[in-house]
Amino acid sequence: MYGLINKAVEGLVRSRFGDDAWARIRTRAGLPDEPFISMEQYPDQSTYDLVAAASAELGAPAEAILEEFGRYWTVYTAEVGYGELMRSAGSTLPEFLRNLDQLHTRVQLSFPHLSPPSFAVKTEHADGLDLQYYSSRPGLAPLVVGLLRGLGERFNLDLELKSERVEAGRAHDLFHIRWTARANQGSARGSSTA
Amino acid sequence: MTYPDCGAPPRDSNEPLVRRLFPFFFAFDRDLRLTAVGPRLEAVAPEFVRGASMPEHIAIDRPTGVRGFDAIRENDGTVFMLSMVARPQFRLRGQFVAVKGDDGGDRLLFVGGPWLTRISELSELGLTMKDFPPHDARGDFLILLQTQELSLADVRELTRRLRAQMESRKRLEEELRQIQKMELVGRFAGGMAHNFNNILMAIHGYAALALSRMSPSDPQRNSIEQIRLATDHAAVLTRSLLAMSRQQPVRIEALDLRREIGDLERLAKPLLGERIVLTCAVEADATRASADSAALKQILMNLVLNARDAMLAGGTVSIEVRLPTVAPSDSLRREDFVEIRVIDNGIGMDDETKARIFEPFFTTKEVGKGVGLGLSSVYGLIEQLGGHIAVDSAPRAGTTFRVYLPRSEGASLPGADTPVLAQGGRGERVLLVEDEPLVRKLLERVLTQAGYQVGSSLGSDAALQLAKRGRAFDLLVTDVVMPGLSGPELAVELERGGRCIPTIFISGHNEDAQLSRGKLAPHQRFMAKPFPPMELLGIIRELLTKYPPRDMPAV
Repeated sequence: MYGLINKAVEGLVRSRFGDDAWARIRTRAGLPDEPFISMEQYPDQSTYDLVAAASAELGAPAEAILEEFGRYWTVYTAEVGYGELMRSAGSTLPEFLRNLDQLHTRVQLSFPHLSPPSFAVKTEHADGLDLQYYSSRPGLAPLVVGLLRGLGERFNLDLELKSERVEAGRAHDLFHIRWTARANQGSARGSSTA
Repeated sequence: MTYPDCGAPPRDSNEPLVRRLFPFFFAFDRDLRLTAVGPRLEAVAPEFVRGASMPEHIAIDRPTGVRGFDAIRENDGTVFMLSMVARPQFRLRGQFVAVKGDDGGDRLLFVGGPWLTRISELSELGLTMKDFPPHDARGDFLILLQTQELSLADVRELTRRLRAQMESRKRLEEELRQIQKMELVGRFAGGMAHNFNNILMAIHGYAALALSRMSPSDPQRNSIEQIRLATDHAAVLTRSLLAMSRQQPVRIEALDLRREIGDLERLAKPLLGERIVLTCAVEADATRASADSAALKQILMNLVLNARDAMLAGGTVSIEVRLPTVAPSDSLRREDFVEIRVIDNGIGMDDETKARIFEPFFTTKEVGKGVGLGLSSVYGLIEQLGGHIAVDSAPRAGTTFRVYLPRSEGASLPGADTPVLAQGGRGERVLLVEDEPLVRKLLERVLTQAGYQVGSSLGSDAALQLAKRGRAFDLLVTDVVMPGLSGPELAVELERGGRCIPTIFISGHNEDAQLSRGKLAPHQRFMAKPFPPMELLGIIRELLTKYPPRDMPAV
């Protein structure tokens, strides 16, 4: 994985739990006290180790850590300068999800060794859609849950999520997403006809 | 050429395709009238419409000097940089291609797009990534630039860390150099001071002996007095050298700071003159400290005199004793210390001076007014006492020295108030062991004249021989560091028979001062050289009074 991911994990821990918590988690994960380099490639294991260490130090299941990270990622990407890229991917949740693969394709010019997941909108409804998630990396479905929730906040939507593992054919996770506009927010952007 | 229908040239049949592929395109005819404008260009520049004059809205920045239809057409393989006249920050980069319109007329078609170097410029110009069709790598290029920015941020962070590490390392190296310098200077100064002390003790002692035999009207008396005074001054200097090199013997005990500060006040006032006021205050809960009484007086006297020299026009020196409000350092507990502040309202110091004041031989005083050992000896002594010192000062804002000493809850050690007793001997037998001939001969003479029987030897082997030959002694006066057995080892050997022998260890070495830190038996004492002979006689008398002589069995 690119260092940018580990930097985001660091950013999440520092912002939510403080610098001391990060120092303990980094030490537990066996990583040196050095800054991550955004464009450097790190073994996937270093990220898994960080998540495991965070889980142990914070006393939360790894799934919860991953979900929180997914939610944080939607904020972090804007913080490090990719906000415009996020905006270009869509002004509504369904549009954004339909464009996710193209977004990753665009990013690959900058991150040539990126092995991004793949997303496909399977069916669309007036108040939701079904999203297929394909990844060569196991166990990251909770991260997608967090991503979707973060996007829900971005588009002022409350999401109801269900997921199932589909083993038939090319194995993937299928997310059933239903949304309602947030009551006291501005205009919600969930309409698939927008 | 005019366009009677709508005031604009007719649309060419390929326009829909071009609009889709190149949303920022535009075309114009030989009259430089716009014949078509791409949808994104229309959106961001509404005045840029079919029929408008191209030069009125577009400036050709590069290539320089290219104007007119034919000149542009001749450069159809060249990169053009254009800018919108109404919005100069909106720049276009691309090329012109010559085409034929449906009416057979010549057209020049601009194919290109906005010239952007930062992803944030998109929103500044009212654009989004979606304005670039998939075949146009402009959007990817902007992401790449942003990623480059991210890498530069990493480089900046790494550089910042590296610089901080280098500065930290430089600082540590400087501290190490300073420590090594202090150690070297200290070792040299300490060694010199030790040897000088033996010589000074002999000069001082003989001068005292000579004075004791002179009548008050003896014409030589004043000269001898001056010799003794000169050795007193020299002894102060050697004490400073030993203190600076952390080798001054100290005896740490529980001190009553009210008494110590009171004594100091009496000593210091005559030295401050009329224009300087000295005030002292000891808070009720900060009256106890573990320290050496003489060393504490030396520390405070140095600081007070330093304050005096910073207030040539007069002022106030305050000594305040209190419990500290902050710990002397992060790793220490505030409640383990008492704080003594010496405050003046003198000229103060700049940062450069402040950083060097504890260095040996650093002085801001005129040549001949100070050797630069005062504050370095203060620093050395405080370290020996297990304390800390800090200074707050600024030019024209006075100076505050904060001395932190270990706090003590205990009472003063017994014996501190022991009165000096009559000093004459009554024929008691004293074994004197000293390898320095000058000192040995002096002490032999002092003891003999005082009425003691003295057996003296150059070292521990000779002393043991004396004892083996059956000589018995009532008291032992011995150097500490000697060839063969050390003073304490000799004392153990001599006491092997079971009887304790009152013993006085004399030394100028700091390492021996540990003898004074609770390691002495009740019948033993330690004296740091140089000392006045009368002081030795006083301690001998005190010991012999407490431990009256009996026949000492041979070893």
